[in-house]
Amino acid sequence: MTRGRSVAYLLWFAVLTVSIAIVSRTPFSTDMSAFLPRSPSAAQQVLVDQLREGIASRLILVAIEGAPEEVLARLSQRTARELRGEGAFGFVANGEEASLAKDRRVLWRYRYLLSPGVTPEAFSATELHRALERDVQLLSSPLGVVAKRALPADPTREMLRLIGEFAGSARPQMRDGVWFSRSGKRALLMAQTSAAGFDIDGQEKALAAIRAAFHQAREAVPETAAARIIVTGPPVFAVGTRARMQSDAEHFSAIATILVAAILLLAYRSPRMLALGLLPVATGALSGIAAVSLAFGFVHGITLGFGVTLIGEGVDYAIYLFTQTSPGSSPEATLPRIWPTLLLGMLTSVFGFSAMLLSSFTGFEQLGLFTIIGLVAALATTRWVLPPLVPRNFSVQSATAFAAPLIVLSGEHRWLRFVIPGAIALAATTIALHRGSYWESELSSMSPVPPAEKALDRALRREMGAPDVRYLLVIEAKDRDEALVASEQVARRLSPLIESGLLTGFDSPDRFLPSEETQRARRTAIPDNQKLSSNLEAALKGTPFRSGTFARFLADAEASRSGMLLKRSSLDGTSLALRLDSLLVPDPSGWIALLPLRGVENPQRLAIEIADLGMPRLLFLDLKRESDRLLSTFLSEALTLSVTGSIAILALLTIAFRDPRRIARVVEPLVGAVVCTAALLLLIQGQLSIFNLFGLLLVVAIGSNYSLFFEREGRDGKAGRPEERVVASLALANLCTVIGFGILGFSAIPVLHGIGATVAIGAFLSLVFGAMLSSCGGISAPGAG
Amino acid sequence: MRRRFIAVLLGSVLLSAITSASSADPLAQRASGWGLPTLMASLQQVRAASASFIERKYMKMLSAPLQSSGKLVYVRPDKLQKDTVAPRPQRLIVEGDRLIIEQEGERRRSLSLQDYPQIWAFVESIRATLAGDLNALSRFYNVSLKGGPERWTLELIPKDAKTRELVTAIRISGEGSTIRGVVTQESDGDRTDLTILAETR
Repeated sequence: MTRGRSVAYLLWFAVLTVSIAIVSRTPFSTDMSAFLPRSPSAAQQVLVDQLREGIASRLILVAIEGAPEEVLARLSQRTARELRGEGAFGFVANGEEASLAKDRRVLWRYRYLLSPGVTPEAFSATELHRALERDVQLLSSPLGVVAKRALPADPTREMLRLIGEFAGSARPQMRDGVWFSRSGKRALLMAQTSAAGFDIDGQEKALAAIRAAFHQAREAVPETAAARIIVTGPPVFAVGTRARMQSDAEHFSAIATILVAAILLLAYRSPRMLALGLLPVATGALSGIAAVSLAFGFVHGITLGFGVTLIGEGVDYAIYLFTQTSPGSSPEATLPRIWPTLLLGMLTSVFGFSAMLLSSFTGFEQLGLFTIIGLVAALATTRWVLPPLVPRNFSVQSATAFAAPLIVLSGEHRWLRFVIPGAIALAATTIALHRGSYWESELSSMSPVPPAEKALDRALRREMGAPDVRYLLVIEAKDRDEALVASEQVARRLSPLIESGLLTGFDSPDRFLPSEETQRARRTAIPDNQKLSSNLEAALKGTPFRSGTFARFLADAEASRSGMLLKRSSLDGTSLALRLDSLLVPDPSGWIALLPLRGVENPQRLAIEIADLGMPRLLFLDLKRESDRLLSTFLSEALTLSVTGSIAILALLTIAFRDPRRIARVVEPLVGAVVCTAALLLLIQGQLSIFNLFGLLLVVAIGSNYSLFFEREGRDGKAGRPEERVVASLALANLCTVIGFGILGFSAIPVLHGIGATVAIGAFLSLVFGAMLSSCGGISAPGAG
Repeated sequence: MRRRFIAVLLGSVLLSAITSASSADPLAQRASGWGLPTLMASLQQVRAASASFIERKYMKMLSAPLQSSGKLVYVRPDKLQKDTVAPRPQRLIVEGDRLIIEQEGERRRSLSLQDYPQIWAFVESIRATLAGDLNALSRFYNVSLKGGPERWTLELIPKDAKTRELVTAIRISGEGSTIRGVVTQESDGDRTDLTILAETR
């Protein structure tokens, strides 16, 4: 016995030490791709990559309001200047001329490589003559005053063409030299953080820098007392969500911990026992994380979030052991009596969650493994580590107080046996009569961003002319240049679709960086100096231009003809680089070109047209549909896993009991609790979320312990009635669960709220239903007690 | 189109009536102290105006001045249209913040004046003068006036340094409430002379 005990302790210490060592080195990730199917479709991969680190995930929209127009303009200029000096931003734009100077320089230098107007014909004498005639017209228009300067170096006006193309369709209005909203009440800025979208610390620093810059600007500009700044965009959401999650999790778990500790302290009247009671949970959580870390190399934040709540079951083990130990007895003496039930309860949960190991989502697998290892470790700790540590003569004095109401329920009331079937029937009817979909099918419903913030974001985006992209073309390629070549091909085929009205426009990476092939072709399109100047000489005949006016054109054309090709690095530090990087992204298998489409009214027809292009590695992507589809894949797999888990639990009970009546007595309260909870949630929320589903799983895990104990007491208890002390332990465990999870239910964060409310309601119903069945033997076997 | 034509016609009739009315009594104006405010006030009386023009651009890069001619139409408060007929048809329309350029063989271009402050300044030199809007003029230029009600010259010096890099001065000459010419002196020595001929009916 003593030898066995020391082996147990050695093992426990070893497991704990190793677990702590592993956990301390475990990378925790919030990478969405863990919740992608293991072999995601290309579309899903693109979607998740965009969410994680796409350029859009780093875009902060800023509005300054609350002052006269000129003041806002000055604030905008000063804030932007301040931010441009920061390393935290790759790019800051507010419409100012200064912010575009760099872009202009690059466009000007590489205009003959960038412009689609550069073709061999363009430099023939005839075409040059035509260009010069158009130049004369330009000079006589009001644009002439401005355009005149560039004309001697750019008579074919490639620069004007490039600026026209790059300006895009929608842009904010200009007032006082900076971007303004249409109403003129908000100055608008745009900043792209250097930190990736998933680097929330980096995003938080960037946001702080924006506020600091604004406050500095406000001090420098007079009459700005009422001026204020509004920031929005994915980084703001990410930072806000994390802060809310942290504060909610901290606050609510602190309140829950204090309340649960107070109840346990009241019950145990011993701080030492309170600490001992947490030992199994702590051991379980540590070894669970360690196991996941060993198996996957990392632990996902969501796994941890869901998983730690599953440990709620682990707390119960100690409660059962302590509370069911009678005065004058010892836990060692209690254990043999309750061990089979505890073991079966744990196995029920393990069987239920083992279905998750079959999942194609890494996140689900982690969750399954975490729970299984965690519960095994928690129960083992309760069985072999805890009993010797309990002081002699310890017993839970006030146990009976907790039991009283349940004892009443478990009395010999004949009518009680109809309550559960009645409740199930009522709940099932409610569910059957429910209108519309049972499940929240939009990913946005899982988003913890408050609706007001989303609305503000949409409004600013509209004013900025930067609407959310919904439709995208995706091209996969081996390398960057191949992606550019393909994107040029697609762009050529897309232009006719604009004319036929299927879309109003699109962006493509090759506009900012033409493929090498195209650049070479443009270079060879430029005749050598001698030929070009003779062509120009011929073209000048019949125009009012003095000969010699276009010497700079000849020099620049020659420089482009014999100069370097445009590379990605040539664009460094410009807004062009930024736009290129958002459209041309590396991925594990090569490069991906993204072509966002604008003004798509009829996506079905467009999809057909695009399929007709017959390009193998071209994908038409509807981001919203794809993200909703991702959620529904996620949801349907979670449902399948739950059903599989339930079947596994039934199988386990069949093997353990070999008696349909006993199985029914365990299962009936659980079915009742799950169905009634689901119906209640449907009534309250209108729809169920995936978090509710996880909550229901947890209800089965926790509730099965109750009904197993009630079932055993129904057989072994005195006169077929459950023993007071057993009922008390269940009541105490339940009270802790309901309070702990009930508090989480008050959080506004969908995850915490969804799981918290579900478990609190479900666990309570499991207990009540279990108590009702404990003596009357259930409907299938009236009088069997 | 037809309605606009009628509006212009009406405006022209009205304009000539007002012009003759104000020039009928020059003595009374002199006595009340003629100046920028009175000139602007009299320009404000013009509801609409239409006249033919000849424009000559003298540029270093051109061996001969660029000459064009056509019709200029103004409709209060902020519409200005310049229809060039020769040597090549071109139509410019400024209305509110939009500048629209239509010319043969090219796509119609529409741009926001706010996006091009220099062009905006240039447009406003003529439009704001026609409107008699001293505030709009002063926003872009230091304004000075020479001459008398029968023959006057407004000199506009750009306030904005960027605009001054392009344009040194704009001189607008007129008679009564009618503009007769606009001379734009560019900083590189180039010059544009816009001569406004008798009103067309």
